[in-house]
Amino acid sequence: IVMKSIICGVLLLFVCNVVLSSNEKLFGVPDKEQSIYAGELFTCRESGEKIRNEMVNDDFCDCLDGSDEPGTSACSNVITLSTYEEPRQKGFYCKNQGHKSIFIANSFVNDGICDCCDGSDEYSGHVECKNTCEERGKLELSRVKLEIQLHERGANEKLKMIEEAKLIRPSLQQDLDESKEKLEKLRTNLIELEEKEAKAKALADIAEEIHDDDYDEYIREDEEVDDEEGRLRREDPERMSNQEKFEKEHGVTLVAAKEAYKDAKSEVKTCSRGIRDEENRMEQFEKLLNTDFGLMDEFLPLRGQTFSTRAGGYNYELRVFESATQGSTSLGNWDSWATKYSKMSYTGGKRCWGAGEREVFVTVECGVTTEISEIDEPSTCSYTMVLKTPAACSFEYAQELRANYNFEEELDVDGTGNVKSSWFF
Amino acid sequence: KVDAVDRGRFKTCSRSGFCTRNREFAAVEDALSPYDLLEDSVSISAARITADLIHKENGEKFLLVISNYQDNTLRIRITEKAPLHKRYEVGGVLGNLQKQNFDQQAKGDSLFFGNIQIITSPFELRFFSDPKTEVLRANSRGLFNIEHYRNKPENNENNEENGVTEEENKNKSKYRQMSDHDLWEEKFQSHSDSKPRGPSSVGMDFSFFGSKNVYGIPEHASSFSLKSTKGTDPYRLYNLDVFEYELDETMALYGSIPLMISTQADKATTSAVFWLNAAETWVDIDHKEDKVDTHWFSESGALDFFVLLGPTPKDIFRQYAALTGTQELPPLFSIAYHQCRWNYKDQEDVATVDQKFDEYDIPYDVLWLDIEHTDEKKYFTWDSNKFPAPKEMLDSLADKGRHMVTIVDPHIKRSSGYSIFDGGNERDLWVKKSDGSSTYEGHCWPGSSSYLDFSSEETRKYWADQFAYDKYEHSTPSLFIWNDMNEPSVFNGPEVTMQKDLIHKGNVEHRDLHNQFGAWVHQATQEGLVARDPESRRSFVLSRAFFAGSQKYGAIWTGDNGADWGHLEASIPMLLSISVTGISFCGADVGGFFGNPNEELLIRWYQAGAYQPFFRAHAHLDTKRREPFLYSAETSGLIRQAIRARYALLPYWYSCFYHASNTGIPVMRPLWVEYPQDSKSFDIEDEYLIGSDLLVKPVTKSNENTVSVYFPEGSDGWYDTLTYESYPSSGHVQVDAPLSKIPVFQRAGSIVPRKQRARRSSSQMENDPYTLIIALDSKGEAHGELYFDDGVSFEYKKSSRNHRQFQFKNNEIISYSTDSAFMESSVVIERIVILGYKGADLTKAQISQQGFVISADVFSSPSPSGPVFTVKRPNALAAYDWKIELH
Repeated sequence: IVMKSIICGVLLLFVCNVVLSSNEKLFGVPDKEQSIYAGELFTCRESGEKIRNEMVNDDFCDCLDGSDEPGTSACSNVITLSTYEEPRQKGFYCKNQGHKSIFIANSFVNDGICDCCDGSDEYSGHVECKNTCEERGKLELSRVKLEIQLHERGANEKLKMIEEAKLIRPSLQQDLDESKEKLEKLRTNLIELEEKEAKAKALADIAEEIHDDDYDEYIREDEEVDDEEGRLRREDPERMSNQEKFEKEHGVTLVAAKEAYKDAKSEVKTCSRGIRDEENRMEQFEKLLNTDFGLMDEFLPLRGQTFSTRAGGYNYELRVFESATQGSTSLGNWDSWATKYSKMSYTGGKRCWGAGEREVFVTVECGVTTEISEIDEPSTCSYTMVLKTPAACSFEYAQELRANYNFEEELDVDGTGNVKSSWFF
Repeated sequence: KVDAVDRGRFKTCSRSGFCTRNREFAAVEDALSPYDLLEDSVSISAARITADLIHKENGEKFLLVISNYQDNTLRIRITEKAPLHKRYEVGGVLGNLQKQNFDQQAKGDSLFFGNIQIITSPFELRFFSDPKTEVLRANSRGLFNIEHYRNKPENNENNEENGVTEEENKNKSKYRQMSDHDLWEEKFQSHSDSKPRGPSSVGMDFSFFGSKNVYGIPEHASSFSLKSTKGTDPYRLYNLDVFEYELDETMALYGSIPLMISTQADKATTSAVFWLNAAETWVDIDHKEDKVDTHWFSESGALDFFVLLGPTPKDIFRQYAALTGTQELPPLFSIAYHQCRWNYKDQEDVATVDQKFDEYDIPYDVLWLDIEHTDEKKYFTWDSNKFPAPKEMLDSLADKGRHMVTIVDPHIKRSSGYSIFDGGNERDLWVKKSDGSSTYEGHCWPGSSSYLDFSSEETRKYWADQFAYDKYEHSTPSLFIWNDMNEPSVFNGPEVTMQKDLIHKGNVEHRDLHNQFGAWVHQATQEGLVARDPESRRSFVLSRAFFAGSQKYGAIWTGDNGADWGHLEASIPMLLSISVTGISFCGADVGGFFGNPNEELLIRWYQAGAYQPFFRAHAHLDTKRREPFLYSAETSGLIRQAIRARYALLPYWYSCFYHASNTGIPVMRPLWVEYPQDSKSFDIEDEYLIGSDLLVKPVTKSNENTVSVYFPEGSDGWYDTLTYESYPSSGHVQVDAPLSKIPVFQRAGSIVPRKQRARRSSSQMENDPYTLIIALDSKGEAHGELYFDDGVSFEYKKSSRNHRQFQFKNNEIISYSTDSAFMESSVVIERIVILGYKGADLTKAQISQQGFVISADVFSSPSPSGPVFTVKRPNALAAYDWKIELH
């Protein structure tokens, strides 16, 4: 036994070289990229060093970026971050004839687990992989058919929503314009009222002085004292009281001047309040207008619409672009798209012991009608739900699927035939 | 932000009767020990000395037994000559000890036996690591005391009268006096301890001579080098479930190991005291000019201690391992990365998390299920709504070589129809109330619960049987276990645990064995997992509570820490304390249990955790999700990098665990284990070694881009494992540590085996080739090791293992073995990296293996400290002897 494995071990050295470097087609690389590896020298794809061609796929990592080993696991530890950004640039390419071609992580190559349906990732002999591509391809095909149907039906509904949005948006703009106009009027009004108030104040200030200085005489006059002194005073302008002078000069009584000021002040206050209220309204309208309702405003008709469902003994309600609740508990208010057009976030809900404010992430998926489902609480007081809506459906996606899966001809979407006409929207 | 611990729920020394009494006993200056050894009573047989001690005032007599064991180990036991109650002796901890005859020498008028000298009046013991080097004295400060069991005084009046006369005696006495504070009953909050057996504490002082540093006695959220307790409470050993524990505290935590190690630089001697007692214990420490004074006292049980005389740290670990056992060799998967959370909610959640790890190409080996997976917290059951098909779930993880761990706690829901509750009733296996007959009830997760009496072998056997595949429904060979709340935690008990006057089998009070309870749960679970598998699969069991010897049963972790930088920093001294007291397989929850870590903290915690022995992320129910794939590409990428760093070093970690299982040497080591002559390393607790060859300095502070690394005296230089830059042999060096870097250094003179290929779990690495990193010392030489076996079974104990030695010398690398055992493997070495090579450029390698000679290329690449040479695909078989000549 001992000798046998030594021979194997030593043989491995040659066998590996022979098997892996005598490549008519390079392992783990799609056809359209084969040429990159074809020359006498290979240039590492990101790090740029040049290495001899036989070092490609020789089961030893030579390039700093790991690009010399697309078909082995030798560079699996060197893979750079860009690998994980879509679209996946590197990895092991499974052709998967009969099913979908994919890239898998190089760490999955020869790890004893069948990842490619054609079994091409497990060539070391540690495990035997059946080719399941045809079987899985069929399953995938029927799944994709359903998905295409869903998207095309949904996208038709979406067209209606876009039309609806075209009506809603001008009314939003109109609301804003009206609000702006109203605000302008109120502001002009305020200036006038403030001027009026200033005048009234000046008069009232004078009246105030008089009131203070001549309090006793004022009282006596009120009592209409008809004696010698009074008579003299009335007849002799020199002896006229201050309030009499004021009345004569300004044409109003002291009391009336003070009242007039009070009234002017309150008018200013009312107008200012009106301005503040209108400003808030305008801000809301502006916010609404600036809210991202999708590329074609397709989500706009959902604004303010309420969808509810029961889960785990609770009633959940989503007012789209506004708020979410669980029974009477606030789960959060509209915040933003966490991921554009596929995940919404509603934050700042009722505080929760130990876990901060409640929040909801709403995953948006294509559906023929709009509804919410799949309520979950992956960590305490942080919720997820799924909003199915035609607004998330897409002809382009359906088209892409048709192209990728090559069944443009054979697929009759829903038997009504009315779908195809809207294909090239 | 982690909230503060509720201190009122836990006792301070002043709320504990025997702590108060023993501290008062110690406080009187210039008082004498009341104990004499009666010289006439001394009897010496080959390996055993016995003698009588007498309390000179009350006349009570005690029996002293000193036993001598091989490898510089002594045991001292003192008990009442005629005890009123049998003193509880800790069972199940000690292994078979090998006796050694005393070496009797005359030295003046005292009794001197080479390693121990007995002083008769007052009684004292002195210990020598060699006949000229005294390292330890016991009772040199006269704090030895045994509160002998006595009958409760008949009535209070007499008691008071006696009290008066005793008071008078006390004032006259030149001897230390024990007060009568709280002798017969104690109250704490709403709880009352009936103390039917009265006072029974045992205490002793130990002075470590020539020492400035003592370590050990976990578990405390405190410094590694233990602090003086003047002005604070003593270090407390009493296993407790402390909610939101705080740092820099002598408060008790979940586990206790009454082992203290002292280092001393001048003669590089290390010594240790192992206090074999499972009752509540407190330890006072006082650092003096030339020694460290310590005072130990336990509420009950035998006065029984071991003195380990080293003299090197490695000797101490071997000596302690001979007493309590070594770390059980963990199955390979369990030293990889664990993903845990309270709670993965249901089967779908489990499938998604598993899938996401693959999608993001992040390795993990074990997914954990906390208490919510059960049917109403009835352990061994499943919530069938959330987990309708557990077997399917386990099998789909197992298909990727992954494992699962479920939680099984020792409190049992009182619910008839629940098999464990019914089983406990039928066999009457419960812990009893103080009346000794009715079943105790306490509150825990399921509500009203009873507690199986794990001190009884019958209970442990019953418990172990429950893990059989046909008993534990839906369990499979890929399912392993987690024991939590085994201090035990009782929500409505005093200090969140059991009343001390509860009764265990054999009429033993809970008071006597409290600290051992959790280890018995751990033991019974481990035995169950081993017994369930006819193919003898190694077990994996994680426990929160622990005691001396817990290393035999599996892993432990530091319990419910917090998501803040302080707790990350504290994980290092806490794990070092646990490591040097025998438990190598230990870790702290990555990310922090309570609270939400920010991304920087999480990344730094993963980086530290990747270099700590037990590597598991865990989070509280109320925290936000924090699986590694949930973050930005950059953050997820850095976490992936940290986890992969762990996986790449699994061959090295496993080799270290093999050594721990053989010799007791910890996997995670303070610097002084390898450099005992460097006293500057004695206070260092923010860096450590993995094995002997990797020095780790985790970044534990926010916004830090560099760290100061201390390289110990006596080493021969170090290499940065990332940049290959070389560093000098000793002193402080400032090293770059951006967020993408874990500062780890390989010792010059070492060879470290790695597996460089990333895989989704450790199982898929089985056939992957090795990389050897050779770091040359100043002589241009290096030595290293690689241990491997099947990673799963106990076959390695027979002969199915392979322990390789590698040596680099004179441009030649050889692989050989000194172990007669052999295990076949077709795995090859794909790469050899040579650091610090000073000769002419290397270009070719010639590999000779069993008569075959092949050649391989050597290429050179630059590093900050000169060229690094790499042998490309030597393809030498790891299992066999070979030689590689370099040209």
